[in-house]
Amino acid sequence: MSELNNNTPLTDENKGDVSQSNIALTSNVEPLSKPVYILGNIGNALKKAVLWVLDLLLSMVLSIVSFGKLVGKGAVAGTVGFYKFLKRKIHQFRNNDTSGRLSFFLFGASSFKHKQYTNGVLFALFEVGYILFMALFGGNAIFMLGTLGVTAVQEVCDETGMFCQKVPKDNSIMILIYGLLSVLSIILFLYMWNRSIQSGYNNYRIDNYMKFKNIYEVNIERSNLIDEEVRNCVESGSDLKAYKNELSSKHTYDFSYIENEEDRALYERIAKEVNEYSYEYAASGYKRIKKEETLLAKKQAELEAYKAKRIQAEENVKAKGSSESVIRLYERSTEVGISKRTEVITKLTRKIFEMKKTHMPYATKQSVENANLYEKFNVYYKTNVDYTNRIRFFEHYEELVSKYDSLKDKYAEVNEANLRRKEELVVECNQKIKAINAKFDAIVERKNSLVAELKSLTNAKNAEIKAAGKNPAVVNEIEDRYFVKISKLAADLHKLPEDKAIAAMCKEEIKEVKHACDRDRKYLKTNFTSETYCVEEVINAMLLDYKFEYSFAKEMVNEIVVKEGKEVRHLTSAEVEGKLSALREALAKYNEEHQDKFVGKPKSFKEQMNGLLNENFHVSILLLPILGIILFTIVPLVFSILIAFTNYSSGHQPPNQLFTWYGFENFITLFAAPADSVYAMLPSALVKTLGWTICWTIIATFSNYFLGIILALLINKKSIKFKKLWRTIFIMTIAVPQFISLMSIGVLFKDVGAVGTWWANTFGSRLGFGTDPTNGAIVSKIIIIIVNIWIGIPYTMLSTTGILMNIPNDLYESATVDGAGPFTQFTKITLPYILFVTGSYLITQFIGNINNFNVIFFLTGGGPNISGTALQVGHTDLLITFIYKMVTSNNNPQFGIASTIGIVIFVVCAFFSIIMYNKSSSVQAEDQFQ
Amino acid sequence: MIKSLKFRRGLTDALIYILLIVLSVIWLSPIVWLVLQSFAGEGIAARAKFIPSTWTFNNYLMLFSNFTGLVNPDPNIAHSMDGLFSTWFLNTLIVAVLNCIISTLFVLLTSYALSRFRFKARGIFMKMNLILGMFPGFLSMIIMYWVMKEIFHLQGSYWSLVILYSAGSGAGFYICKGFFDTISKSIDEAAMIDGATRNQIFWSIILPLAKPIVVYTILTSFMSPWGDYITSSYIIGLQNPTNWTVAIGLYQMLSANDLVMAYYTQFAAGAVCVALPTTLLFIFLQKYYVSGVTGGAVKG
Repeated sequence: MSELNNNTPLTDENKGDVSQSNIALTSNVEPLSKPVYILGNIGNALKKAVLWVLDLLLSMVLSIVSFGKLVGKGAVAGTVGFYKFLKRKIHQFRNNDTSGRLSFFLFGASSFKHKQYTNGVLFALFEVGYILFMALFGGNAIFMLGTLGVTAVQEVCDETGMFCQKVPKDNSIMILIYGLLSVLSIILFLYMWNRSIQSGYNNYRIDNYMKFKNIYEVNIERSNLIDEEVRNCVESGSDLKAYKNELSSKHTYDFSYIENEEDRALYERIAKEVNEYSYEYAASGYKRIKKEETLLAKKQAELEAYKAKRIQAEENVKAKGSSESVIRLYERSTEVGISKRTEVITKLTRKIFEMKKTHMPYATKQSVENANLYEKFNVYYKTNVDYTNRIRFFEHYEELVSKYDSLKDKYAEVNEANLRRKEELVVECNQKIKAINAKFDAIVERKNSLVAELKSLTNAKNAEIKAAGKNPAVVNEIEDRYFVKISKLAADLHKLPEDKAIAAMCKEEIKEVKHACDRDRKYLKTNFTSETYCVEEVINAMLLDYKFEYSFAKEMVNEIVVKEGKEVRHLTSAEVEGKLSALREALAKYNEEHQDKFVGKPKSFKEQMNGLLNENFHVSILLLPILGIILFTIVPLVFSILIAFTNYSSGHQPPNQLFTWYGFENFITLFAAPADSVYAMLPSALVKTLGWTICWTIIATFSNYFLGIILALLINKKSIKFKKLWRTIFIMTIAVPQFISLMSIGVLFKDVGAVGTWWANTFGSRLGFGTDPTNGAIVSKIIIIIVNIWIGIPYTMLSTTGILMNIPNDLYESATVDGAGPFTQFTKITLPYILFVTGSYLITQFIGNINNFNVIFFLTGGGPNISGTALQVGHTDLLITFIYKMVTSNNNPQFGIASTIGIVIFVVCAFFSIIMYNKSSSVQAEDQFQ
Repeated sequence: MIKSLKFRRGLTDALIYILLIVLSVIWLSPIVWLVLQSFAGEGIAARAKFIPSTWTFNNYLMLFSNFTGLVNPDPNIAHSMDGLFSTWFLNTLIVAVLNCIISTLFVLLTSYALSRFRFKARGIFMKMNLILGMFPGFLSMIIMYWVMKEIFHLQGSYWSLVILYSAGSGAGFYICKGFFDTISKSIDEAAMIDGATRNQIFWSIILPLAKPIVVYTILTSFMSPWGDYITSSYIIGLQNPTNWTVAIGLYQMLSANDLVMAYYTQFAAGAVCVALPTTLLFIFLQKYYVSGVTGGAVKG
C-alpha cells in the first residue's frame, strides 16, 4: 500500500482539495455557469477553427518552400553529378591503356582486345548504326524542330505538268515526334558511350589489378593520415586554407628507396594524385564533421523529445487518473511514439554511418572499387593463399604433432570431467527451474493481493455510498476520492499478465532452461577415444593458434593422422620436408607462370547472358516494362508539355496546316486573355472550373473516405452476420464497369429519366440534373457527389477492412467496460488508427479525384453549360473534362491551351499532394492519439 | 441490468441490419433498374419509369441481329450501328485478354524487380512514377493518335489499343510491390543458397506464394480496358463502327439517341451483357481481390 502511495503524484489531501473547490464552484456559480460554458465552448471552437486555418496556411507555405527546396536540391545534385561524371571520365581517360582510350571514340575497341568479340561487334554496330541514323535522318529531324515545318501543302504535278494536285508535305506533329525521338536517341548514345568507356576501363583494371592493389593500399594509408589531420585541424579550429598550404609543403614523399624505376614512377604519381585531392578531401571532411555534429545534435534532441513525451504521457495518465481504456490508449500512443522516435533515431544513425562510409577521397574510392573488382576476379590471389597456407601448415607440422602426442592420454580425464559437468548441469537446471517457479508465484501472489485490495476498496466505497444515501454531491465526492486509488490499482493490475499467460510464460521459461541444459549436455562428449579427442583438439589449435579456415583444417588433419589400414601414424620429417619443397616449388612455378598474365578474366558474352537470369535479372525483366513506360508514357508526356508552347489549335491543324512555337503566349491567354479575343472568357471560366475542381476533390475524397470507414465498421462489427454477403453487394459497384453504371444513373436522374419524372410529378418542378444552371447548378453538383459516394465507398470499405481487422481487440473491450460509447470508440480508437495507416491512400485518392473524368463525363458531360462563353464549359466541368472537351471538339480543338491547363492540373496535384503529405505525416505522428 | 444491456446490444444490431438493408437496396437499385430496363417492351418511354409496364426479350435478340435498319443520326458516323454489338464485344474481349496477359506480366515483373533488387535507378524510377501519375494522362493521347496513325499505321484499329494499354502498364506496380514486400526475403536467400537463379526463384517460388496478388492483377488488368472509354474513343475514333469497343458503342447508342431514341433499350441490354462477365468474375474471385487490396494497398 505504501508503495502505491509513493507512486501516485496526487495525495489524498490534494485530491480532496480539488474536489472540494469543485463543489464550491458549482454550488456558487451554478446559474451563471451554463451560458458561460456554452460561450466558452463557442469561443473554443472558434479558436480551434482559426488555429486550424492558420495551420493549413502555414502548411501551404511550408509545402511551397519544400517544393522549392526539392527543385533546388535536384538542380544542385544534377550539377554536382555532372561535374563528378566529367571528372571521372577524365580520370578514366588518363589512367588507361591504348585500347581503353580508343574505346572513347571507337566503341568496343577494348572488348575486341580482350576477346569479347560479341560485345565488341555489338558496340561497333551500334556506333556505326547511330552515326548513319544521325546523318541520314536524326540530324535533319532535330534541325526541323526549330521551325516545325515550312510548307504545309505542296503542289505535285505529273510529267506533263498538266495535272496538279495539292498534297500535304510538312506535318508539324510528326516533325515534333521525330525530333523528340532523335533528341532522346542522343541520351541512348551517351549511355552506350559510357558503357563502352566503362567496359574498357574495367578491362584495363582487370589487366593491371596488382598495380591497382598497390595504389589501394597506399591510398588507404594516406587517406587515414589525412583524415586524422583534418580532424585535428577542425578540433583546433585552425583555418582550412592555411591547412591546405601547409599540406602541400608538408607531404613530399621520398620514394628513392624503391629500386624498380617503373614502380617508383607509379608510387610518385599516386602520391601526387592523393595530394591533389587532399584539399578537396579536407574541405569535404570539414563539412562532414560539421554535418555529423548537427546530426548527432538532432539525434540527441530526438531522444530528449521522446523522453519528454513519455514523461508527459505518464503524467497525463496520472493527472486524469481515468479509466482503463484511456490508460491503455496512452500506453498505446507511447508505444507508437517509441517506434516513431526509434525509427527517426536509427535513420539518423544510419545516415551518419553512411556518410562515414561513403566519404573517401576520390582516389581512394577508385582504389576501393578496384580492390572489389580484384577480389572478384582474383584466381591468382586465392591460389597463392592456398599454397602459402599449405606451406605454413607443413612448417608448423612438428608443433602440431607434438601437441597431438601430448594430448594422447588426456582423453580419459576429459571424459570424466565431462561426466561430472553433466551431473552438475542437471542440478543447476533444477535450481533455475525452482527460481522461475518462485518468480511467477510471486507475481501471482502480488496479483491476488491487488485483487483483494481492489475488492476491499470497492466494498468500502460502496458502503460509504450506501451510508451517504442519495445525496449526489456526497456521492460524487466519495466517487472522486476513490477514483484515483481504484484506477491506479486497476492499472497496476492490468500491467500484470493474465493467469493463463503467467502459466504459459512460466512453462515457456522452464522449457527454455531445460532446452539449454539438454543442449549443453549433448555437447559434452563422454565417449572420447584417444584419437578422436586429439583430432578435435588439434583442429581447435589450427583454428585458434594458426588462423586457418575450418574446412582447410579439417582437410589437413588427415596429414597429421595418416591411416594405413588400421594403423595410425604421423608423417616422418623427411616426408614433411619433401612435401614442403614440392609446394614451394609449385608456388614459385605458379607465380612465375602467372606473373605477367592477367589473372582475372573479363566476362565472356555467355557469362553475361547467364547473369541476366541471375544477378542481373532485374535488367532483363525491367527492360520491356521500362521501355514501354518511357516510350508510351514519358515521351508523350514531354510531348504534351511541349504542345503547351505551340499554337496547335483549330486554325493550325496538321496535316494540311502547320503550327509553330508560340512561347508563353498560351499561359498569358490562360490567365489574362485580352478582352477582344476569342478567349476573353477563358480566365474566368478557368477560375470557376478550378474552384469547383478543388471543392469537388475535397468533398469527394473526404466523404468517400469517412463514409467508407463507417460502412466497413458496420459490416465488420462482431455481432453482424452475413459479412460476405454485405461485402459482395457493395462490391457490385466495382464489378460493373463504371461507364455503364454511371451512364445509366445519368439517365435515371435526367428530366426524362425515372427519378426526374418522379420529381416533376411530386414537386411540380424540374429536377434539372445537368441542365439547370441556377445557383451554380447546385442540384447537379449535389447529385454528382451523392453518385460519387455510391461508386467510391466500396473501395475505401475494402481497403479499410484489412486495417480494421488489425486493430487489437482488447482496446475495444476495455473501452466498452469503461462505458465508452460507439461514437467515442470510433473517434478515440478507430479513426486515429486508420488515419495512422492510410495517409498515403488518402493522397492517391485525392489525386484520383482531381482527375476523376468518369464520374463527371458520364453523368452530366459537364453540363449545364455556363452561358456567355464561346467555350463549351459547363458548371460541373472539372479541369480534366474541360480539356477533354477542348481536345475532342470537332469544330474548334485547342490543343495548345489544353496542354497548358494540363500543366496547371499537374501544379495543382503536386501542390495538394505535398500539403497532404505534410499534413498526413503530422497525422501519422503520435500526437493524434492523445 | 444485464437484460437491458443485452436488449440495447440487440437493438443496435437490429438498427445496423436495417441500415445495411436500406443501403443494399440503394446500392443495388440502379443496377437492378438497368436490368429491368433491358427487358422493357415500350422502348424509349421505359426510362421514365422505375418498373417497365411491358416485358420483352427482344432487346437482347435485336442487339445481336440487324433490327431497325436505321442510319445513325450523328453526321460524323455514316454507318448504322445495327447488329454490330457482337463485333464490339469480340473486339473488347481481344483487347482485354491481350492486355490482361501482357500487363499482368509487366506488373508482376516490375514489382518483383523493385521489391527484390537494389539498383541505381530504383529510387529515381519510383519517384518519377509518382510524379507521372499527377499529370493528366489522356493529353498524351494527342501524340499517340498520330504515332498510331503515322508510325504504326494502325489508325482506328483495336490493336493500337492493345499496345497503348499494355505498354505503360508497368507503372501500376504499387499494390503488387507492396504485396511482394510482405513475402520474406529469407525464402529467396534460402533458394539462392540451394543454387536457384533469380529467374527460377521468381517463377517457382514467389509466384505461387503471391497467388492473391496475381489474381488481383489479372482481374484489374482485364477490367480496365473492358470499361475504358476515354482512350479508346480518342484513338479508334468514330469513323468505322466495326472497330469500336463496347464502351464507344454503348456511349454512342445513348448519346445519339436523343434524336431517334431507337437504341435506348438496346443500350440497357448491351450494358447488362457487358457488365455480366466482370460481375461474375468479381463474385467468384472476390476473395483474391479483397486480399490483394488489403495486403498490398496499404503498405504501398
